[in-house]
Amino acid sequence: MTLDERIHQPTRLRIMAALAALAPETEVEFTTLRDLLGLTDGNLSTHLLRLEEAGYIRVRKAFVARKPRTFLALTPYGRAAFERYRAQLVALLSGQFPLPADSPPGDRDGSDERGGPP
Amino acid sequence: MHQPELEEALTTIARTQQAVRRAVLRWTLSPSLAAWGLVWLVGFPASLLLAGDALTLLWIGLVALGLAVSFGTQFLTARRLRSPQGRRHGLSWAVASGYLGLWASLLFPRDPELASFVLVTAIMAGYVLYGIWITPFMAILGLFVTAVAVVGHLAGPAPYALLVGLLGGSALIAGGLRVWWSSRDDAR
Repeated sequence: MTLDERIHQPTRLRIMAALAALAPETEVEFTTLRDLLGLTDGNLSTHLLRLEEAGYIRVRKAFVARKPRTFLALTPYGRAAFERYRAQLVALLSGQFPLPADSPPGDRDGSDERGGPP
Repeated sequence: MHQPELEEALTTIARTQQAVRRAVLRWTLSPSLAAWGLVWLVGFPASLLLAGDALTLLWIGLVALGLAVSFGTQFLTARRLRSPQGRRHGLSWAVASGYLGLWASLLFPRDPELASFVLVTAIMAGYVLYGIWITPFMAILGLFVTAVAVVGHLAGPAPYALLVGLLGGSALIAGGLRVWWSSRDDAR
């Protein structure tokens, strides 16, 4: 069993967990998520790009009170991937499966991008 | 990959999700609870001191304040979060409030204290339902204020106004502050 490294990276894990805590179809504004997680604009943008490329999140630009805003939401594919990831964590910790081998260093910062949405 | 790393990941998920849910409660609930608590804290005891137009004007002003804070809160929340469920929740509260206002306006000329009791306990029924679906804290708050209102109603108009105003209003304010303080910066 291998964990999804696109989610397992700590910052992306927090982003995915935060979006998964909201009801399906709920969008959160970029600066709100940034402030909630205590990230910088650049750091959040970088990780959002990776998650968007993986098909896990949807990014929508809109004007609110004549100002450009960016809204983010988990896609159904991303929500399923996150739930699968969490179930795998629980299964691994319960001893049902052997722990996966250490990932190459690049994987934890997101260089391991496999596949995408169906 | 080691067990502590996996445990840390699970902890991160739990901590982050709790922080997000608390933040949403803070944005949506906290200011409204505190504002309506203040309305009750001032309005109900004032019913014992004022009468006629002065009391009516005071209540109009207080209710306008409560509504302004509630709608303002929803407006600001909508700039942060957008969801079909949120719109339906807001519409449901608006419909329920409209019906409550209708019933209260019909009951009030006949029995002001009963009209107030029906209004207060109906709102608390909404809190309890909110607690069942969203956060148990609201159910506890709703049941507490309902108990206060029932005791006051049985004791008579003056104790009712004092109990609901001082105890019920303070409970709403305390509830709003609790939601606010419990969610500060805990996702970071």
